[in-house]
Amino acid sequence: MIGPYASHQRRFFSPLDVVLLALLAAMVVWLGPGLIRAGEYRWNWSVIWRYMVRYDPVSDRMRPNVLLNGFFTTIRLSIWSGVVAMIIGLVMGVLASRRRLLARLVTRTYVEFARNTPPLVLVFLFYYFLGQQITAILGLEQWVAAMDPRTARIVTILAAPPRQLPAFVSAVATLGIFEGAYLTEIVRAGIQSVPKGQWEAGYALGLSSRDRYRFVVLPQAWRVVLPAAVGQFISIIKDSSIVAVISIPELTFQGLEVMAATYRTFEIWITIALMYFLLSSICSWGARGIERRLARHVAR
Amino acid sequence: MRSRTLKRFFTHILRTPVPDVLGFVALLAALGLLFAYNTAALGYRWQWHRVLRFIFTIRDGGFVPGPLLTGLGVTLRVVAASLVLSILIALVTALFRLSRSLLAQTIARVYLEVIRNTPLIVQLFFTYFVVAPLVGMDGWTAAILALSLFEGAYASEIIRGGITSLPAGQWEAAYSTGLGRRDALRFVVLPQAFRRILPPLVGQAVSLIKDSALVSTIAIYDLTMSGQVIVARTFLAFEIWFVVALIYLVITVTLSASVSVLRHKLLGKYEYHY
Amino acid sequence: MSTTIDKDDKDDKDDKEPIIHVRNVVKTFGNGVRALDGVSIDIGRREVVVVVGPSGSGKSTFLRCLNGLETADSGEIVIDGIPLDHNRKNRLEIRKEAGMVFQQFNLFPHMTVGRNIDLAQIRVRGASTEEARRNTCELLTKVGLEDRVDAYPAQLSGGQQQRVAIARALALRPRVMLFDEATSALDPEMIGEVLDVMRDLAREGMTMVVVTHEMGFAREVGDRAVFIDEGRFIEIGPAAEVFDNAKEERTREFLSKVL
Ligand SMILES: Nc1ncnc2c1ncn2[C@@H]1O[C@H](COP(=O)(O)OP(=O)(O)OP(=O)(O)O)[C@@H](O)[C@H]1O
Ligand SMILES: [Mg+2]
Repeated sequence: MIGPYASHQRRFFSPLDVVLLALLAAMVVWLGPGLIRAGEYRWNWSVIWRYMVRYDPVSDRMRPNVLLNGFFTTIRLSIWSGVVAMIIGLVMGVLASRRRLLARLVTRTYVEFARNTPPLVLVFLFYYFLGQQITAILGLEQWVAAMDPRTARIVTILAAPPRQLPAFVSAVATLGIFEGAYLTEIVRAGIQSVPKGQWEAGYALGLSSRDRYRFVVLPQAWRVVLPAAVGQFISIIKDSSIVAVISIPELTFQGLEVMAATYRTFEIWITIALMYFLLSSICSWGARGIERRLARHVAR
Repeated sequence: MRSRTLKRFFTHILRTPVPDVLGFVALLAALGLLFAYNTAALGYRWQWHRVLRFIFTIRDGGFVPGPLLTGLGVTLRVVAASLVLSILIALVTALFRLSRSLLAQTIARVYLEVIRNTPLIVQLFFTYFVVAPLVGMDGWTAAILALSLFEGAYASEIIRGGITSLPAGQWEAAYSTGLGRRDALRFVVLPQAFRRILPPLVGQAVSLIKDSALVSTIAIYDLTMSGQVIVARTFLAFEIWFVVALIYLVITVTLSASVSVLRHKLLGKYEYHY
Repeated sequence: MSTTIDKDDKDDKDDKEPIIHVRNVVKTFGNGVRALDGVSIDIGRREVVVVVGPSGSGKSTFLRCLNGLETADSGEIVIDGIPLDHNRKNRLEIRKEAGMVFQQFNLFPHMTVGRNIDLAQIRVRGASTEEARRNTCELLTKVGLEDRVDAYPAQLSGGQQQRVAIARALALRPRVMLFDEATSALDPEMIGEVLDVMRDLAREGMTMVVVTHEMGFAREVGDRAVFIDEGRFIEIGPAAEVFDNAKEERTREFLSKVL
């Protein structure tokens, strides 16, 4: 029933279908009481709607409320983390592909550490430390204090409201360090996917090591790296939900908040799951498109 | 004469891994010092001596596990249960996706899409807050179910990938020598797929261990939750989180290392270029 | 494509009766490529037919249709009296009747050479392990590899692997052998050893359909030659005639390029 020759004997109704239908029936019976309870539950979706958008009397317009704001925060958080992770991944990935032992030791240690520790623990470990360090080094606090309203508006749109900026930046750094390990591996694999002959040809032409990377290897590695990197970006969106535990007001955190305020547990988690699903599906749809275009390029 | 031997000695040293390893150690030390210095500058008081009692204590000559070890026990139990369940789910899902039944394929596809497009933490909340009250599950069951469903989705793709990534020539050769579909699967495809599947599957087990830390968000007292409780009570944030990270690392790195050994064992003898 | 053949045809298996009967076979791939555009040929017992033609002309597709690896869209294929149709039994029967050798060897890398050859005997013909192994050793002797029973494919050279693949294809005692560029993936110094095995097979009277780029070998071993281009059999005739004075302009043009 498995394998390339399945088409010789495709059946529309196989024994497996019978078993499956029976199982589904059993499941409905098992879930029966629960479903009846769910039916009796007084669904109240208007609550969700109210936490999505609110009426702003000042501007006489509808404005996004906490849930929608959380959704946007998730997007901003993911994009910035993705940028940080990509920069780390590029640098570490190129290092990891070098022959020098020191380079390999450093990158391996980083990658193994970041990939073998629970992200949640990394968040606890790094968040406070990084938060304080980065704030100190970038002079973030002073900058925020001295910010004029227009800059503040731009910063709010691009990242987070000025008051939350230090927390936001350190969340981005934590996620970036964590996801950077995966991107390091992606970039390294991409570089190593370039046939050895390409390096040698570059070498024979007298290109310097840097030029070999820049003009010969990286442009070819890109085709392997890009689809995988986009896939990793989808992981970043999902993993960003972890920073809810340190009160970054992204989507999951807002879900918890609204749940505490309204007790509409069912409606909230269904909605939150749907919002993530939407975001992630759109991105994987885009990723598939990119992959297809790249594949066409290569196949030529 | 002397200087030439010395020079030879140094060029020889430079070609061994020694300078690289030394450089690496120096780098680590610098990082550690920087970290210690900066935390101290921020007014953090390091108190490593207070940490041990949270791991274990010796009372009346007997070994008494502290909250961290107890938490580790909970983590391991959650992981063990989820591992078994997730592999079962993965096998069934992979078979569904490869089957000819449209119904089975649809069920598998919907399951995979839902799991892969939402965060685990939301799935945990969903299971714990929505599904559990409907069917009367306790927190433990909800945690294990959510974790298994999550890891099972990824593991099933590993299994399916192992089967479908086999070059078509292997199927064709089996088919041409007269083997039936079931024999081809049993003697040619699955044994090879198994060798390709096992290493990434162990990798997925590492993920399971890491992801299990998230069950602390639905009030399961695992290793991470114990860490949180201790930190909240004692403010030993860095010490405790370092220890917790280290415990996780020991387990996951051991597993990861076993993967590369496994890969050599499984593939070494007939590394083959199709 | 399913056919029934006349009863007397089936019973009468004398030498004159073609063992491979192909009539108006068309094969179109999903991407719209018409790889076979109505080909017909009858191949007699003990005949060696060599198929030559430019790359992408449909040679592989033709061979793969013969043993059911590809399903033709229309036309009829009958091997040794068995019609190749949607009947599962017939398809299995034909796979036993026709051995196939691939360009890429396709040995099972996780099994020893011996197991590679045992497998089908045990699973398909129901032979005992000892019986199968005895036969396997005979076959390996035939291809000159009797001492490599316990080696894994990865430990063999390309030429040795291909000879094992030939032995494996012979394991069920097929009536017909199909060779798809069996030497194209080999280093030049290994081509000879594989061609020798094929030459021996031909001499023993095996019916063979050989796709090859080795024109010298094709002319020497082939009884008849087929020139195929763009999915059509442009010319079919005695090998010597096709190679030395082809009737068709396209054949001459192709041969002048490769010879
Ligand atoms: N599975 C497939 N799907 C789509 N098109 C195919 C497939 N297999 C073969 N083709 C196309 O069918 C045509 C004939 O292919 P075939 O492999 O039979 O050629 P060939 O004569 O064996 O060539 P070569 O000498 O390169 O092996 C080609 O145009 C090829 O691109
Ligand atoms: Mg071909």
